[in-house]
Amino acid sequence: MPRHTRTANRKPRLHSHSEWNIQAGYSVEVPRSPMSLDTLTPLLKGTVDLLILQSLRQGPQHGYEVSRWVREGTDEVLAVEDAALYQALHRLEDRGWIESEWGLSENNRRAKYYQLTAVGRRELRNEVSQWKRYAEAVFKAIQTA
Amino acid sequence: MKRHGVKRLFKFPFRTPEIVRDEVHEEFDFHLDMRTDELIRSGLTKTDARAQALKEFGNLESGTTACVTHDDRLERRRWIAQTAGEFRQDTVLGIRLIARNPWYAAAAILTLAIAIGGNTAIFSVANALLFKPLPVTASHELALVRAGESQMSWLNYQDLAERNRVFAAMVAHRRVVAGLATGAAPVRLWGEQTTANYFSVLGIPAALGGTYMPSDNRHDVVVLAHHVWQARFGADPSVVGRVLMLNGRSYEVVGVMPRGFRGVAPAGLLHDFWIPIDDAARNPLLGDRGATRFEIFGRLMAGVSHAQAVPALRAAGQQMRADHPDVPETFVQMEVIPLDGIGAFRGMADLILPILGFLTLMTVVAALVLLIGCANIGGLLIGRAAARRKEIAVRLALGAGRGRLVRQLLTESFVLAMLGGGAGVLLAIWLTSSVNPFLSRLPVPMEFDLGIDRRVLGYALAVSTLATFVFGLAPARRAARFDLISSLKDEASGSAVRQRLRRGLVVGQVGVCTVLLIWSGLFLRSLSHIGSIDPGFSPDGVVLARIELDETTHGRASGEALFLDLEQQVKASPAVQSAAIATVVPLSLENEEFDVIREGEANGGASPPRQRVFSNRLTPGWFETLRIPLLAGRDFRPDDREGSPEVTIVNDTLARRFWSGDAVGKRLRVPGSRGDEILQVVGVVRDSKYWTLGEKTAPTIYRPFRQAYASWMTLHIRTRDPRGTADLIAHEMQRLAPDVFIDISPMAETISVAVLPARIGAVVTAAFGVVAMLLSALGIYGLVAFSVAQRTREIGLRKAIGAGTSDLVRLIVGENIILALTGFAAGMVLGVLGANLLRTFIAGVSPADPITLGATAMLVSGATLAATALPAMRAAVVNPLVVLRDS
Repeated sequence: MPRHTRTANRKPRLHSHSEWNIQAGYSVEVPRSPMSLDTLTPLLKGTVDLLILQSLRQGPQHGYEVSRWVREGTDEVLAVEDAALYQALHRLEDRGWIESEWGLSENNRRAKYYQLTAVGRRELRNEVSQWKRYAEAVFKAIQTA
Repeated sequence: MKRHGVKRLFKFPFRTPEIVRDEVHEEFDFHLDMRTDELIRSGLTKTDARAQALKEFGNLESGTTACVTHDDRLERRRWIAQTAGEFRQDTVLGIRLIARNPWYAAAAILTLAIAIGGNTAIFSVANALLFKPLPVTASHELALVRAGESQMSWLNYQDLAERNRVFAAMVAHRRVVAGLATGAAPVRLWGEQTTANYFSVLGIPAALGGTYMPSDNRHDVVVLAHHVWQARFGADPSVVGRVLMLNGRSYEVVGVMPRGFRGVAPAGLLHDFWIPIDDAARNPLLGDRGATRFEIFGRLMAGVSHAQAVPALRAAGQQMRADHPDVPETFVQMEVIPLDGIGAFRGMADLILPILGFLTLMTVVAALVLLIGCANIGGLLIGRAAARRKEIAVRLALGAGRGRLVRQLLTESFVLAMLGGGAGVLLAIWLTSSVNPFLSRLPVPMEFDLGIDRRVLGYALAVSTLATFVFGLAPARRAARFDLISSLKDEASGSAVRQRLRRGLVVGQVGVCTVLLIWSGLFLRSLSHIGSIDPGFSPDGVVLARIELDETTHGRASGEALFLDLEQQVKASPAVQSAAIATVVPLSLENEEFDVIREGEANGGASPPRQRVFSNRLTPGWFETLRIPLLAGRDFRPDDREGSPEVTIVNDTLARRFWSGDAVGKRLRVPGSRGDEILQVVGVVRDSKYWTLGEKTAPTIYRPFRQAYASWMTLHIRTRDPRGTADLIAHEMQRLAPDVFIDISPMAETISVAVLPARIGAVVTAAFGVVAMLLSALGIYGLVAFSVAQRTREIGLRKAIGAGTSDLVRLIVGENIILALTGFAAGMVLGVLGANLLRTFIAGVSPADPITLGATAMLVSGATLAATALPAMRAAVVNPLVVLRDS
């Protein structure tokens, strides 16, 4: 029976089976490798978007920072391919939830910085509360099973 | 931080697809470099780190493509948003500018309203005639079926309907004229007799009550049209169930159709009522395979096109011929004609072609008037642009691109054009609202659906937009092109280019105005000329009494007896000088025509000459009644009747064409579906007009009514006492056939209907001509005033030197006269050339008619003189001191 463990440190840990993994949408399989564009289900796409928005809540970040945050923030469980992540970033910008601007990175290189728009901020709040409800409901159902 | 969607303060150039792609590459490269560096820092070698970073990234290609797609879309949306925003800005600016200069705007809007309104009104008529679909369900699926002639017999129709596989249903119908019995004299109604599936095939339910259907088996029901219900029954809702007497038979009203329903009649015509076709027992004609009485149409099966149906029908026609040898061979050349649009007018080519030609002419004329209007407004705008030099200079200095400036000015023009177009649509509605009340005065029920629909509005919008570019583009581009230096210098008389443009506009306006005035003049002349054309017979003092019998109530024997009886009674009256029957009234839009072949003589092997002729069927005395002289031979006699040798009288044109004048005794062959007839010529009469007053006389043959019976006829009566004769006729009809409707009218009325098209043509073109003249005069006045205003300093100088008012006026007018003369000359040439194409409308008048040209010259010179002299005179009162002090 899978145990629910939580590792305190945030060292990247790939390919771990013994942890409680978020069930990805309709499949029961735990993804064994970083998910590519093609294997992202709609549910997972939404989840990635949510994480990107959450990452930008702290302030403007460039794509690399966002990708690092997503990786570390989910304890390596949600390892999405960077290509998929950038596609998500551009899609969010197309939708108007984030906007971009070229700036200088910490090592003086030109980098594209993203930040939330007012619409994006509002959507983030909605998505987070929806997610919480969903996760709690599923968790509750699983517990009683 | 900035909100998304806030207007950026600085103008970012929009990212081209190349820039977009480069940026995505740069972003990805940055990411890969950062990850590589991080991995290097955690211990990997450079190459390993790079490889790992690439592997983690995933599919570089598809990632790039996806991101580029999103970014391109984003850029496009930004571009659209900005352009829309700019357009909105410009529109607001334009409106504000108009509010600040109401007079100049009002002049422009009024000009546009008149010009666009005229164009739109003409298009409404064309729309009603050609483009509006039939007011029935899925009108594009309907088609007329014709086998050679326009009508078919009942048996052939039934066979065809059964055998074919391409029509879901076929309907037979025919025109019926009936007398409706009211308390007073019977009223004439024009309706249709149809198969029971008529309404279900057309798919339109009744507005009140119901329609008759195939499942009913009654033959004594009638469905009324909406306008009849309103006019004759006062829109009484209890009309359903009432019993009416039509042509002596009783019919129960079962329903009223909705407003505007006209079956499959072409645009403009109406039906008053619908009754079902009798059963065969009641009407023996239905059993006669040769009695072609019905027009046929059908609804095609789903997925079958009109072209696809033709071979199937032709095959069915061939089968029918195989089974029944008396099916005519034209059944192998069946036609399937769409009912929408121009197809509905098939078989009415003689009527519709002149109308279409006239519509085209009117469209050209309206377009020319619009051109003059646009020239006016263009001139106006150029004048205003000069006054706005400073404003434009400031805008350019602030950084507006020239393209943006042109767009701004063009948008101002667009606002003007939209306002003018809107007013024009209202004007068009008003103009077209007078058409139907006018039509209701005609003897035949006619009504055009001239309601403004999407197509008309779209046309008005397109014309307004086009006008925007025609009058606005050139001034806008010129205004944006000048340089700042010359705007600061106070230029006295304007640049050479501007002078050329002004001169060109004057020449152009005078030219177009001349063309339109020439055409209007020619129409007016032809109208007065038509009044003096000799029709070849004498209509004055002649009264017409017209009867159309229902063949089911009066067969040949009783019909002939009725007609001849009436004729005899009328001739017996002392006030009547002479009377006779004819099936066609000249100049009344009725006609009979067919081919005849010269018969008998040897022709050296070549086929004998064949000629399309007009025809009429008469009783003895008709020529005398209408005072058409006999040139050779004799008139018909009472013993030219059924059974006697078949005879004919021809007119002079045919006699000369076939026999060089000596026609008496010669013979003609008339091909027919029931066999050829051979007729012997017994007389020759002088030519007279048959179809229109303007026609070139056509060959005509006449036949004795008793040898060629028809169930309709008009009694022509030359009488000294029209009133008394009319009473006598009414009295006799009461005695002989009380349920038959008879229509009595003086012949002069028919002539006036024949002149109607010429009168309408003259009125409409003259209206356009007058508008054109006013607009041109206004335009020239504006242009001259503007140029004079530019030259105030020069004029002041001249006055100071000692020039008198008359000298100055002569100077200014003299310069412009040459331009006007050039325009007039060009306009004359073009006008006469164009008039050559209008010969059919201006019958009897030469395109280079000197009176018209002279009158036009006077009008144009008068208008131009006034338009140039007025501003010149105003300029002449300029105080030289004031002007010189200014500079």
